[in-house]
Amino acid sequence: MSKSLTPLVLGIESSCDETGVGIVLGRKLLANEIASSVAEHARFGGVVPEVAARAHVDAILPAIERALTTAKVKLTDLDAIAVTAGPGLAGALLVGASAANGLAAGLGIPLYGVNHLAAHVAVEYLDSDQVIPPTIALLVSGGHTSILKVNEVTDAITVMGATMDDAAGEAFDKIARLLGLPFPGGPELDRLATTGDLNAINFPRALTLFTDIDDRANKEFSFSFSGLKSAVARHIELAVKKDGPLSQNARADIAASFQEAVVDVLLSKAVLAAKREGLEHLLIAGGVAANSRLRALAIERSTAAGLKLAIPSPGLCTDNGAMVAALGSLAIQAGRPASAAGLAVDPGAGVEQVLFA
Amino acid sequence: MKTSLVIDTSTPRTIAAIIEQGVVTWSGFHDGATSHGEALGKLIDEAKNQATFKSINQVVVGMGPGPFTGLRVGIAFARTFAIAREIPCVGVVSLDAIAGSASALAEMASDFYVITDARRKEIYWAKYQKNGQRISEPAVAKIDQVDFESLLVIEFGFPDPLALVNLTKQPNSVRTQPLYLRKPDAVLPKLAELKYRAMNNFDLGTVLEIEKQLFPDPWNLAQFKEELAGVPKTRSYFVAELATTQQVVAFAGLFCPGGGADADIQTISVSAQYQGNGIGQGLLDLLINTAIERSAPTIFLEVRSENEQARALYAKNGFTQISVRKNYYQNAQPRSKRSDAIIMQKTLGVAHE
Repeated sequence: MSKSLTPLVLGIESSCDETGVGIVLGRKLLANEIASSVAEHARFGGVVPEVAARAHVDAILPAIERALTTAKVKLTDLDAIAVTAGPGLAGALLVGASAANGLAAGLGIPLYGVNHLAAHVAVEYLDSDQVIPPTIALLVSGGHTSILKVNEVTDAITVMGATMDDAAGEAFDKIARLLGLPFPGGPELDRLATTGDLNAINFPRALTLFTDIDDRANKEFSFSFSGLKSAVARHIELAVKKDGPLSQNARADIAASFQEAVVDVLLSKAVLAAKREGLEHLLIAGGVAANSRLRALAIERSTAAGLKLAIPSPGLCTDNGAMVAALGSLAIQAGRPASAAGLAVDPGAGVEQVLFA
Repeated sequence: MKTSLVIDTSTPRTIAAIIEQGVVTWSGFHDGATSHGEALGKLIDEAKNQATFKSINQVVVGMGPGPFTGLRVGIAFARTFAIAREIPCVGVVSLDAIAGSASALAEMASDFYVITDARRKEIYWAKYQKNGQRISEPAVAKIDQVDFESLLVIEFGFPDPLALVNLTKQPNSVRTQPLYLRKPDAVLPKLAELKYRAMNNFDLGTVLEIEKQLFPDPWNLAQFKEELAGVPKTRSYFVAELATTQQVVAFAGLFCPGGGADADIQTISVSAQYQGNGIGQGLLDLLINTAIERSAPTIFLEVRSENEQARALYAKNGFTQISVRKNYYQNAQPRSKRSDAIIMQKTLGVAHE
């Protein structure tokens, strides 16, 4: 791909319940089309892998066509295809990878299998021509919660810490369910919390206080949300036993206080990681980065710490194809090799593996 | 000249071939029930070296039945390959291509069965005439639940590429959707306890949200207020709410002026996340009971012709179709395309003198 430093790349994302197709030219975003099967999962109260995989098969061709129309390009104009090869749901990943493979083979252009988590980071570099600085990335979604050290997004990504149990987004969904909010609960809980008092209940901040030096060294940048989840559940149980069904205000206070506990821990650790590594840039990505309280507090904390903060627009925070195309394009620009024929998806891929051979 | 790229991933064998004018110019396969994705990529890479690869002008793909995950690999690949080349993609029943292989047919003296492995101790199966014509729809079952009538059974064979191409000329075998035959393994969680009550003005915020979520031509606030103004004289409106949180998840309304006049269902709307839990039935019961209380001889309703779920619910409750109102409903896109309304009625057995 020495042909061009502004390659035209189509990216496909299908690791969970969103079928995303994005098109980028170099670092310019041309199209970002998303079809979500979330309404089908809502009735089950969570994402059902087989339902998601079936929906991807139906959604992918229309999404490709919409993206081409929006970007005003033809398939034959494309220089490469990029696709999420992991981590994610195996059956869902496989649909995207097969579709990407078919496009690449039909067009006779290279295919880049990329890492879903790294793509969440890469999306930040769209529509800017800044030199990409080393950065701390806080990646928070329904499936992942990690602090990453990113020297170069197509090459060296180090995990400084990750969740030891639930992902932050998963905790949001579960607490939302306890509060009677429909799935997916994250955005609903965010809305409910806006009317609540975030100091009403002091929910625990896990893994923030250490008495043991070794423990600190091992878990300083790790997260745990299962204890918080139990604390909220117990609080609701006691409140209902005492006063009957929760009032709207009581629910809003619980939502706001829970959200604050999560967001506080996420940002404390991310800011600390930047300081520790001597980096001036903090990037927040993933579905939970669309949370309004996280965004507001991130601005506050990073300003106080003298960090330059980057958060993609909410539409680019959740799973999408543009981020996959972005990482594919950056890989081409960095001269990285394309994936070999017979690209295998890896549902459990770690973020260290940015590009798939 | 027809040059077909043939793909099938419905069995543990990943199959690819190029067939030109009824002649296999290249074919390859890989055995492995969990590696269809990698295998197909490698096979196609091999196909690229064939002189005929460039002249491919049709994709033929096996639509199953087959285990879900592998089956989709071939279908997703075939469809995008076809749009990349701007050529047609034709899906055919994979089982038929096992039955239709020349080697199979040569031996047949009578009708026969074809079965493949559906995993979980089940099989996909269909019955064929001795000339290879299928005479039953493909199905999934436990092996001991199928009566093979002592006929010959072709067990666990593989689709023949040439037969796959020939099937594109048999309408009975051409399919546009994957033949999953099994529902996704997912169980609906038990819904929290529901409460039905009369609708009031405070519900309208949520009601409007549900209305907008469900319909391309939603009623607005003024329309709902006007409806509620008719309660109780000519209108009855109800909501269903979750008992624990008082969240309104569905609503329904009835026009029923009483005095021997007929009743008309204005709406039954269940929020998408809560459909499939019997809430529509609960609301319909309420409306029917209200109509009976108000001595309506007949209850009518209109339903969008595509709304099969709702039509099934009404049919189950004794409503019968009496007419069709053409182009009655507006659609979101294209707005120019309108949907028909099916008019249904149910006699309530309250004879009015």
